[in-house]
Amino acid sequence: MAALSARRLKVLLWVGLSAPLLWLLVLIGKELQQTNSGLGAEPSEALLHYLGEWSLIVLLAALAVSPLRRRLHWPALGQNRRLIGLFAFFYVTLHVLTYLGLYVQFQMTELLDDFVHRPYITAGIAAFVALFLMAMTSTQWLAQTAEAELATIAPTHVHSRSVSSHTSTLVEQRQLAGRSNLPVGAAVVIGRARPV
Amino acid sequence: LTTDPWTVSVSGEAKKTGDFAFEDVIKGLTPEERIYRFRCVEAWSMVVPWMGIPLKRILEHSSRRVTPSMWCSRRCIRLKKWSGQRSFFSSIDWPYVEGLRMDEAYHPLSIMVTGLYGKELPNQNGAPWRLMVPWKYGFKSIKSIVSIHFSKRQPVNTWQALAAHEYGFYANVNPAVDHPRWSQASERRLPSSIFDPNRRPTLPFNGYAEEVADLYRGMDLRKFY
Repeated sequence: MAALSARRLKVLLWVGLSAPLLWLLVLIGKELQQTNSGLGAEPSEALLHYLGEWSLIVLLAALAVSPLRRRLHWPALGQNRRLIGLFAFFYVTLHVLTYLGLYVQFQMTELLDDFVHRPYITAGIAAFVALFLMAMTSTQWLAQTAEAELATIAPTHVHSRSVSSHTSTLVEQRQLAGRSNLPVGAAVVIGRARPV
Repeated sequence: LTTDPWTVSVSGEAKKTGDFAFEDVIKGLTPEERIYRFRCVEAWSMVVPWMGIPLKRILEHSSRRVTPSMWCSRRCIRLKKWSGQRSFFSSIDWPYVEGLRMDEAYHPLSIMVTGLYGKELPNQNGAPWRLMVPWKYGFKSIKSIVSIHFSKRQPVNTWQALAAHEYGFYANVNPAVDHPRWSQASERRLPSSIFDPNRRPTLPFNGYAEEVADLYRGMDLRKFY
């Protein structure tokens, strides 16, 4: 298993992580042909729960990357962590859009009422904001800028980095992973508090 | 689950108590069609064409003198085949128990359902007979009734026993009193389509206020939810 290269793994992950979406499109297609055929008696609720469940599954998969990579000595996995994380964010976004569009129906008063009165909505929105910030700051450009910033604070780090040249090394991956572990942990603790 | 033969036991403060065959209980009474709004406590709703007999007529028909003020019916496990009722994962203490005040039971809108969509009542909908009180949340309308008990004391219904702060004895549909975990102000009317949950405002007493509001005159409906 550990022999799988980062590139091949990437292809596999793309296929595997898109599969729930493709299957959902099939179900929606059935639903559009005949109401209640693909997603059951309450299609909008089924849609919400489907996306919520897959958000949680993919999010947990993203969180499992670091410990698995260490245990299995499988650096290729670590190099694809961001991909899994962004897929999780993608499903979460669709889940949140479904909630906003079909349940709150973009009514600010409804959203505020839910936010104040229902703890799982409060927690869910907080988790979404956390994930949103992480996704937005996950670009190559920002990650490099952040590293440059770090470098000005710790000059010895600059030295080690110039030695290791521009290709990303395992050391850097570990540093990146360490940097973002905390917010991910916080997000999932909050995220777990909501029923799916 | 076999619904034939079906025995109904009548106990408590009734004129005639004992075990009765279901056919005898409804003998001579013809079911009539009643199209009711049905509102689940979990905020979905549906319009359903039931076939049923007014509960009042059943109670009078069996010539039971019912002096006490409470009426309660009980559903129980009939066969092990009916799995899911007494499973490791079930948090409910079976048999399921529901109750009504006598004036609620005698209200003309309260019916005992024996059919659905012009056909015999299917097992999953509570065969061979179930209660239907359309101004209350769905869980009050107990299915597959095997026992009727008359008592002076208000019974503790199953959901109240499970979570009294979430489910009360009355369970009247009320948009002004939210469930602790969700709003009751609106409902999702089934059937709905994927991009339209068909949400509409919930009506007091599920739209039957004119008929039943008098039963609760002077009661604080926030307290007696």
